[in-house]
Amino acid sequence: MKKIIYIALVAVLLTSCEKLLMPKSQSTGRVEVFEEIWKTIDESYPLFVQTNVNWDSIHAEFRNKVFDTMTERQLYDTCIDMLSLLYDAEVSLDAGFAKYYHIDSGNTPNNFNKSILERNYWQGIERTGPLLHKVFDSVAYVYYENFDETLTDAQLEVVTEKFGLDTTINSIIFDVRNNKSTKVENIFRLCKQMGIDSFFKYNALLYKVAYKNGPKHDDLTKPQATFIEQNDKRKFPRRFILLTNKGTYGTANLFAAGASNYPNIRVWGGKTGGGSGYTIVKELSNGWKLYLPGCYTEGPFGMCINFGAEPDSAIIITPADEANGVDRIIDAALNELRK
Amino acid sequence: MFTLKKTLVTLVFLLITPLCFAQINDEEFPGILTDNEYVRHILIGAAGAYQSFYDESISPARYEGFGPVFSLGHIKQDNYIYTELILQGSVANHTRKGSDLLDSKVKVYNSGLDYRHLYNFNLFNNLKYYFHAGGIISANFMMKDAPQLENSAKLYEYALSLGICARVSRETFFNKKKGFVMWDISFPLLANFSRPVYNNRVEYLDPENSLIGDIFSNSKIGTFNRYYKISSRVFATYPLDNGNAIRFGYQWNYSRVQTFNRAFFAEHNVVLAFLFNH
Repeated sequence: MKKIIYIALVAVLLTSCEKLLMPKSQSTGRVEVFEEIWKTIDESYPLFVQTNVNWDSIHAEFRNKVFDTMTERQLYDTCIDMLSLLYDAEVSLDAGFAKYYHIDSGNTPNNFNKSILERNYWQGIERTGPLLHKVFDSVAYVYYENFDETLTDAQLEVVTEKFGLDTTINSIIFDVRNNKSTKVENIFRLCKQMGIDSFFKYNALLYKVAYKNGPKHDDLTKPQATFIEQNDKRKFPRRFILLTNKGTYGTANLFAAGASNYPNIRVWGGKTGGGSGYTIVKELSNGWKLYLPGCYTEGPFGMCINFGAEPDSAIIITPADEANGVDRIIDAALNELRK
Repeated sequence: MFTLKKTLVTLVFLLITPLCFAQINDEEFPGILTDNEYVRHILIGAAGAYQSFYDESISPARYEGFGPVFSLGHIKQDNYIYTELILQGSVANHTRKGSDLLDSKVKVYNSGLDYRHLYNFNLFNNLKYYFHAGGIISANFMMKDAPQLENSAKLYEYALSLGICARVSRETFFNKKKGFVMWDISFPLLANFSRPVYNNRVEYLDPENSLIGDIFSNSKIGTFNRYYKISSRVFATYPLDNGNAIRFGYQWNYSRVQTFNRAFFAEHNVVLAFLFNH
């Protein structure tokens, strides 16, 4: 019995020797953490080529502002000042006591007011799964607030069947304003039902994605194209207007860019907010989390869409419109589709 | 200098474990012989594990955790050949030192299938000692789940390796019962292994992308400078009257994988297993 106890003790003691074999945890000094953040962005941020940001000169500027004697809060403030120079909504820093996001401080109108919709447009609206839907005379209307809410084939079938059985309906407004999302599955489910008819012989290119594959700024994989292939799913009405605004963000941004390549779809409203829905997270030595975009994305026409995709027709909801309870974007789409 | 220190510590690990049993008495290993004069056992075991890892794809800090290990195996031996097939699986929750305001938890699922095929070399004139040497085929799969890293949360590690294995065993005597003590060590020479690519990306934006496909498409072949896993085990086998036996021991595994970055993993298991003679 003594031998067994002895062996157990030796085994326990050996566990502490492990620390000599593995690399030590990195230092959590202020300067080291600053350097870690700068280096992580330098080696993993995929959009330096598009933004023309001189990251080396930013390092030179901010390194002199960091000292080992500064407080954690001061370090955080200095780091977010540095990160804000990327002007990228997908870059953020979570220090636990605070989380930084880049907010577009430009004067771009929001182009969306949910209370106006609820008051003046959504009376009698029905909900099937995540989809809000109704019919304005002969024009179908669908609002999808968040692609992260799961949409099943059965739910989608209910909505497309409702519009398909009503012979007076020949057009649809699909509203993805203020849709901030990160999941792509529902995009593909929707895109399969957004064609001209059930037998369209058309493969739609939605977007292309290039991932970082090395530490240099231009180390990117070849852009990988994502298509929707022809299929026999029941389709939404043929005449199709998609509504976007700057709150159309993440995978909703990919959806808007991809939808613009369908020959029967027009995108109206405001420029999308950008993003791809694919951020990567790096844990720092002091436990902070650094978020950054995981890929470069371009729309079907070859334009970078990480910072947003332009609509086919830009429409602005003015403060006067809002004061009058009017959603000018929906009104314009309804007028067009009723012609 | 640091490499030298590492080498010395590794050697200490390897040498200390057999010494733990140096004073135990001897006798012949029991069991009912088959028609072909083999002794065969089915092994069912459980262990408590202390694990730690340093994975540059997750964090520049070391994580540590405890968890259970379960094993299932088959052992077959005669005077010349010893073969052992062991399937082992563990799950452990790992944490690191850090802020209470931020989650720093990683769940590690680890499984391994090892097949050892060893021959008795009759090196010792003293018949109480045996030296076996041969090969080991090993398949390991590890999944680390760090939910705080969101899209970068799932980190897989797979390795199929071919290596060498040596075993020293000694007949012993526990409470007037014939038993057996052994120490073995294995080391891979060649491995096919895989880890996530740069930035630990998983191509979620491609609906046709599959994680399993990624694992195999990223796989590489390398020698011990790219992948190694040292496994050192010391066991005492206590025989029961009906040919069954109980095995108690300690196992130390240490692995390192080098792709575009490095991952280290260490595990200390205190093992208790039941051997069913059949």
